[in-house]
Amino acid sequence: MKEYKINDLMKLYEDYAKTYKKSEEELHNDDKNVIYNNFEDMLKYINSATEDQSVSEEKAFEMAFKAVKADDYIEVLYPDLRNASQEEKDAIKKERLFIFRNMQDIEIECLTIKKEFTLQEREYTNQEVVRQAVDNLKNKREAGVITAADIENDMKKGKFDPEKLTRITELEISGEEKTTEER
Amino acid sequence: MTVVLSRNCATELLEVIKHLDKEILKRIPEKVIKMIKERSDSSYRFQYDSRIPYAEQKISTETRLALARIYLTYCCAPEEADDLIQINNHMYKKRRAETTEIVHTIKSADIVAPIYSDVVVIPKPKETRAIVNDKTYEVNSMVDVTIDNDEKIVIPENKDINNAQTVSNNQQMVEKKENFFTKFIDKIKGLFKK
Repeated sequence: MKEYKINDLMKLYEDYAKTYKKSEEELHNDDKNVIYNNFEDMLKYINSATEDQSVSEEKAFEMAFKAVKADDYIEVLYPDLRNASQEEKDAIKKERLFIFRNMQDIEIECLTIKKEFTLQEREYTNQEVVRQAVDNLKNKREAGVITAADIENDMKKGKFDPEKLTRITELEISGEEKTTEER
Repeated sequence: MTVVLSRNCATELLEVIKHLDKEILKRIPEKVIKMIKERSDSSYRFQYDSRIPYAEQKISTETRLALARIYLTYCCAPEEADDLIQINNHMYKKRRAETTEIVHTIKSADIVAPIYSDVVVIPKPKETRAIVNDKTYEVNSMVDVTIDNDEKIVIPENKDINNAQTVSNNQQMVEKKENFFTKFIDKIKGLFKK
C-alpha cells in the first residue's frame, strides 16, 4: 500500500484539474482546501480503491475527491444529519450517490442558480442553491434530458480524434461531398 | 480533414437532438436541424433510450462527434470551444499513451492486440494446451480456461486431448469405408468394360 502525502494528492489534483474549462475555474477555487480538510478520508478512499489493481491511481483520486465533495454537499443539505432516522439516512445515502455520480453537472447547476438568484436580486443560502440544483438535475435525469455537461464529458474524457474535433460547417451537415480543393 | 455526415449518423443525431436540454436546443439554428432531418434515413432504425444516461447510450462515435461539433459551433463561446478542444486533445493523447502502454504489456506476453482502439481486444488463440497433473489438455480458446480459488486450471469437460483423438480416429474409419466403396464401384465398372 502506497503512503501518500499531501503533495502527492496535490499533484494528482493538478492532473485532474486539467479537465476543467476556464469558465469553471471559479467553481473549483476551494478544491485544494477540500483536499487539505479531508486528507485522511481521501486516503481511505484511495487505498480502498487501489486495492483493485485495475483501478489507476488517477481514477482512485478522482473517485476519492468526488466522494469527499459529495459528503460536503450532503452536510450543506442536511446539517442535522446525526439526528436523522434510519429511513431518512437511507434516502440520504441514495442522494449522496446521485451527487457523486453527477458532481460536475450539479456544480454547474449551482453556478447557474446563483446567477439567476442574483439577477432576481434574491437573497439565498447555500442549502437553497444546492437543493434546487440537485432537484433540477434529478428531474432532467428522470426525463432523459441530455445536458451540456453530458456532451462536454465526452470531450473531457478525450474521446475524439483531435483532427476530427473542429467546428462544423453547414456543408458537412448537409452531407454534400467536398471537393479535394475544399478539403 | 473533414467528415461528411453519413445518413445513419444523421438519423441517430436527429433522435439524440430530441432529448437535448432546451437551453442547448434553442441555440442550434433551425436550418441546421432541417439539414440533419433531410439527411436522415427513415429506413435506418435507431431508438434513444431515455432511461439510460447519455454516456451509456449505444450511440456511434461518429454521432457523438457530430453532436460535440454542433455544440462547439453553436452553443459555446469561441474561447470556451477552444478550451474544450484543448481538453479533449490533451486527454486523447493521454488515453492513447495509456493504451500503448497496455498494448506493450500484452505484446510482451506474445499476444497481439490492435493499438489505439477504445477497447483492447485480445484475440483468442486458435489452440491452447494446458498441462494439469502431468496430463496434457487441449482447449479451443482462452475463454474456456478458468482458474479457481486454489489456482488450479479448470478445464471444461469433453475438451481434453483424448476426445480430440477419438474424433480423428472416427474420421479415419469413414475414409476407409469410402475407399472400400470406391473400390467396389470400380470393380463393377470394370465388369461392364469387359
